[in-house]
Amino acid sequence: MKIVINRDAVLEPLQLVAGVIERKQTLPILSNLLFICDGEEAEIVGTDTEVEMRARIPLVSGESGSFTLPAKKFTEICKTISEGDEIRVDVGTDRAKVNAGKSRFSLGVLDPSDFPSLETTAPINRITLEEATLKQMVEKTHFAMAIQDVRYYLNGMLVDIQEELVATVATDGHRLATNRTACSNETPGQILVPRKAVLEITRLLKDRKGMVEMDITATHVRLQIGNVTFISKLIDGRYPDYNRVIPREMGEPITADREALRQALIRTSILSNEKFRGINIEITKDNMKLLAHNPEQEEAEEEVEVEYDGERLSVGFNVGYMIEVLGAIDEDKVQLWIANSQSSCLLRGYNNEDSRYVIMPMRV
Amino acid sequence: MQPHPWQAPQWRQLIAAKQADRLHHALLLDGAQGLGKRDFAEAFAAALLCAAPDEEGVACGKCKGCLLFKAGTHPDLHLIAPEEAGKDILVAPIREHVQRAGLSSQLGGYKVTLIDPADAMNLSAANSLLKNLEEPVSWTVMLLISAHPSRMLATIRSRCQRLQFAPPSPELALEWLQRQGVVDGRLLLGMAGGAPLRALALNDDGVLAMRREALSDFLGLLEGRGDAVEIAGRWEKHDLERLFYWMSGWLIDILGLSSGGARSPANPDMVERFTALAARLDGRALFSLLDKVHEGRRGLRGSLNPRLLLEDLLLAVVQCAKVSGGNR
Repeated sequence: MKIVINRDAVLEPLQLVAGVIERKQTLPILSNLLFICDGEEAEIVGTDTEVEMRARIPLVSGESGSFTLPAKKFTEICKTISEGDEIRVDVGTDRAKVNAGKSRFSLGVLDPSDFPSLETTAPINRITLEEATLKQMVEKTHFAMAIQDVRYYLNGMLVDIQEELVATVATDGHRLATNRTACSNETPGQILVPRKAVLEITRLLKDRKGMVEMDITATHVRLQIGNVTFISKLIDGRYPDYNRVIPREMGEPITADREALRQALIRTSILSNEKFRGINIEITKDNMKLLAHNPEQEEAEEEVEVEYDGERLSVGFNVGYMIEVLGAIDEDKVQLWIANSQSSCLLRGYNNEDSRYVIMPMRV
Repeated sequence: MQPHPWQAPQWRQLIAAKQADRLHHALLLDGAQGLGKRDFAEAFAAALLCAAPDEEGVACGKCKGCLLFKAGTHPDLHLIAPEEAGKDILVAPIREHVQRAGLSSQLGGYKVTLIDPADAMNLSAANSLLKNLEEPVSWTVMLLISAHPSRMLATIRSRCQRLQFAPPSPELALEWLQRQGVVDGRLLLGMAGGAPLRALALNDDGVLAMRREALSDFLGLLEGRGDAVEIAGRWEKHDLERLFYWMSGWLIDILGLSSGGARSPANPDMVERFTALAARLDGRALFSLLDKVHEGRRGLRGSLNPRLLLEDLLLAVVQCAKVSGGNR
C-alpha cells in the first residue's frame, strides 16, 4: 500500500510518538511504529508495553490499511529531509520504499498484526479537567513519587476521584504531596498511574485553556490531549490511606517568606551530611534557626525571620525534601505546622488549602 | 499448543486449579532435563493468555492473545533466561521484571512470567525476586523451570508450588518417539535416561558416532589402553555436559552389572562388554570414579578450564584401571 505525507505536518507528532519507544528493545516489533491509515488520516502508534502514544496525522493521499516502520530510522529520515517535502511511502511485503525529493530509502517492515497495541475498551469512569489545571495538579505533586521502591504501589501517582473533587497524591514514605481541585464526579474511585506515565504526561500537558478528558478502564488510563492519545497501564495495588498521614493544622502556624526560607535552606544544606541530608531546625518566638553539620565537623548556622507565637521547638528534617516542597509552592508566603519534635510537618502556601505537603521528621 | 502425552496428569491438575480459581501464583516445574518442562510451561502460558481455550484447557491459537503469543510479542508474557546459555541470570532483568510486575495486564487477563532455568539465577537475582514471589499482584502466574531445584535458594523453593515431572513409562515414550520418526527408540531412550526430548535430540548420526567414539575411548582406558591426555584433547570439542552425563550412565551400568545386574541397563547395546569390565574392575574404585564424574558435571557450570577438567577425570579413569589391575 502507498501513502503520501507532508514532512512538516508529521514531524512533530512523529517525534512525540517515537519518544515513548525505548532504545534498548528485546522485542524487535516494539522498536517499530504502527501506522493505521483510513485514506484521509493516519494514526501512528508507539509503545513500550507500559505506555502507548497515538497521534493522528493528515495524509496528502493514500489507501486504507496498516503497516509498521522502524521508529527511530523513519523519524530521523523525516527530520533530515528538506522542509516542506512530500514523503511517499510504498509498503511491500518485507520492505518499505520511502521517497522524498531525490532521496530514496528502503526500510524493513514487520507484520502489523504482531504489534501489541491496546484494544480500546469502554471506560468505566471519566473525568474532565482543564488542561492547565491538570498540569498543575501533576506538577505540584509528582516529585514526591517513590523511585524503584519494593512497595511497588508507591512508584506512581494516586488519582483519587471523589464526588466533589479530584486529588493527586504522591509519596515515598518519607514525604507526601497532595493537590486537589473541585470537580463533580458521579463515580468515585482511585487509580494509580505508574511513575513513567506521570513523567510522560508532564511533558505532554501545556498551559492551555482547553479541556482534557481522562478515561479510566479497569486496567488502563487514557488521556486525550489535542490530537494525541496517551494510554498507560495502571499499577495494580492499593494505595495507603493518605488522609491519615496528613496532620491536622493544630497549634500555632509558622509563617515564613517562601523564597527567603528556601535560600537559607539551600545555604545550610551545603554542610549537611551528603547522604542523609539532615538539618536541625530550632524555632523560638518569631525566629527560625537552621543548623547543619557534616561528618568532618564543619557547621552551618542560619537564622530566618518568621511569624510564630508558640512554644520552643527543635526538630530535624531532610533538607532536600524541604527545598523541593518550597520549590513547588507558588505563594510568596508559606505556613508550617509542627506539633512537636517527633511529629511530621505540614506545609502549604499561605491560604492555599488545595496543595498540602507532609514531611516526616528525622533524628539528626 | 498441547502438552506432551506423558504430562497429562500435571496438565489436568493445573487446568482444574485454574478453572476453580485456585491457581497458585508461583509454580516450580521440576524434573530431569528432556522431559518437556519448557514445552509444558509454554503450553500452559498460552492457555492462560488465551481468550477461549478448549474444554481440555488448551489455547485456541486464533484469538488475539494466541496470535501475539505465537509472534512472541505478547505484552503480558515475560521471559527471563540467561543472556548466554549456561551462564547465570543476573539481577538486572529480575529487577526490571519486578518493576513492571505491579502494573495491570495489557489485555486484561493473566500476566505470566517464565523463568528458565530458574536455578541459573544468581544470589542477588534470586533475592530480589523474593518479595515479588511472596506477594504478587492478582492475576500473576510465575512459572519457574528447573532440572536442579536443589541449586535454588530454599526461600525461593518454599514460596513455590512444586509440580514434579517424572520420566514417562517406556511404552509411552517409545510410542511418542516413533511418531516423531525415530527408529532406534529404545537405545536412545536408554542413553537419555528415559527423557523423551533428550532422546529425540540424540537422534542424529553425528551424536551416535560421537557416542561410539567416546565409548570406545572410555572403555579402552578402563581396559588399560589409550592415552588419557590425547583423548581429552579430542573430547574437548564435544558437548561436555552430554559426555559427562553418558559417562555417569556407563559407570552406573557397569556397577549395576557387577552387583548382579538387576536394573535395566541404560546402554542395552553394551551389556556384554560392560559385564566383562564389571568382573575385572574394583567396585570401590568405580564408585569413587562415579563421584568424580558427578563432581566434574557440577564443575562445568563454573569457570573451570574444561580441558583440565577432562584430563583430570580421564587420568582418574586410568588410575581406576590400574588399581583394579593391582588387586587381581
